[in-house]
Amino acid sequence: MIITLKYFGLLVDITQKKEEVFRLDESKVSVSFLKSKMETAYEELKNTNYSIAINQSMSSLDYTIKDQDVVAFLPPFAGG
Amino acid sequence: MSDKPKKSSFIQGQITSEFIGNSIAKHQSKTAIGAHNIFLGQVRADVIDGKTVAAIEYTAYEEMAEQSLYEIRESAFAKYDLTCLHIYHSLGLVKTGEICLFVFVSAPRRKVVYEALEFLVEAIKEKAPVFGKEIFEDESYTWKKNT
Repeated sequence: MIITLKYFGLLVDITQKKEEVFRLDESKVSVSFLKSKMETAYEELKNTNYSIAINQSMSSLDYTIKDQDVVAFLPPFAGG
Repeated sequence: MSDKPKKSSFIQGQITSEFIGNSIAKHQSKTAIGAHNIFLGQVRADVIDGKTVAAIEYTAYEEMAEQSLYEIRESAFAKYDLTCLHIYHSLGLVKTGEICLFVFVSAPRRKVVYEALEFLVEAIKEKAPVFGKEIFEDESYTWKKNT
């Protein structure tokens, strides 16, 4: 399946990109699986506080990601 | 009257006193209103590890933030007897001393505007995916954390 990953704030510094398309051999993966995959690809993520939104809604770790989902990696919010 | 969901809450750069003044003036025709309350967030020159913040550069996950702000507006209308409310947040560079957040609530009577404004500002800080890069005078930076 193909998913789009988006990065914001500090996470852009870590990944050096705002967005990327990710191809996974699995047809269904959990958010926590993707998280550990990402933390292998970008080691600095391990020491970073961030949350994940799927298709613009905050997501829990056991959520199952589907083909074409947009997964956003969000550092702590700092509006205002 | 509620704001439409498609309306943008983001303004490029600082929110000027002219913009704020015009927003107030636009309410003169809404004569059911008896009380307004306004929150203005201003960029503070924090000193972090001996370096002074000169500006904040704001970014947002805009589509998601618009949706969060829409939901925050709707819950405020459900909770309080408001005539109207407006939320504006800056994107891009805002220097210290400039305004980056403008929240404006109006109601027939005063009591609810105090509560509604606090509810709104706290919800915006907690739920809107907005990020701030605090840029120091020497052009180095750190990522803003809300406290």
